[in-house]
Amino acid sequence: MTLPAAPPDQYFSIVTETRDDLVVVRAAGELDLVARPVLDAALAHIDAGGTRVVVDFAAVTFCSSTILGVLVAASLRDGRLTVVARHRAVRRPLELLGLEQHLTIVPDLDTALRGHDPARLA
Amino acid sequence: MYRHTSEPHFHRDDVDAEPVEAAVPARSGGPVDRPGRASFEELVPALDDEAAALRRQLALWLEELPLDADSGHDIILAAYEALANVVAHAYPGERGWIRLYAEWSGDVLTVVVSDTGCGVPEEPRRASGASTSGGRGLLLIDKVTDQLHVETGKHGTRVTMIWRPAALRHAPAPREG
Repeated sequence: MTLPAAPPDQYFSIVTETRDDLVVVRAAGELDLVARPVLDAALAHIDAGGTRVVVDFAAVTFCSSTILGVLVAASLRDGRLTVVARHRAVRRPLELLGLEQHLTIVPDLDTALRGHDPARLA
Repeated sequence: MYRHTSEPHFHRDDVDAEPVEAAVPARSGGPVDRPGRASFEELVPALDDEAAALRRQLALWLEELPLDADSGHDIILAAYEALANVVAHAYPGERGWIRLYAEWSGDVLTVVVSDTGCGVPEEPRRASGASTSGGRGLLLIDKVTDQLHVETGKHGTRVTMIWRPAALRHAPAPREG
């Protein structure tokens, strides 16, 4: 007999919201090797559409280097990717690895959205 | 049957045999009244979810030490990067194990992550920058540790990470028993 599968871990969540020509990938919790394929899939799906992307890590409490590798790869594919990083959990590995120069990083989602506001360009 | 998870080995030398609860001050961030020692050891399969669970266990253990939050975060980050390297690289195409040993002794906090895998090639130890293919783990560990030793060969790797956090430095030196 097969035992029922254990309930999925709730240590992280990755939710994708689409707003007109903008996609927000909102992550929360602990992002590590377990979360990596989920984030990979979320970003790969978006890149196919060619839309502008904001990755919101404001609620991320742990972020390993493999996750930052996913962001750098996505950014190289789509230069319009913006990362919301507020807390030390994300800021510190970004800074120590010198990745800030390879990513567009903002402190909150509002700043990211303003950056995407078409009115600002008019 | 494959899984083996021992209970965390939690050990303290209490120099004057007070109850364990009283031996370690609550997380205050300030100087502690008395020195302490504690160790933690765990052996888990080299799998991504096991490494994540072990990181959480280490975090719980660290919470009981008189560490500041930033040092605690650096220790958890470095330890996990070492665990993740084992999961991702040490046992290509086969199963294996990770051992984590952590020790607090006076003003020194040591974490050792070891495996019996294939060893770390020279190139990933240098990778950094905008490389997309990982290789940042050891670089990050190096940045957040006070001392890092990597011993690696065909029969395994041992990563020894050492910190001397200011919060522990302010504590009196442990008396030798």
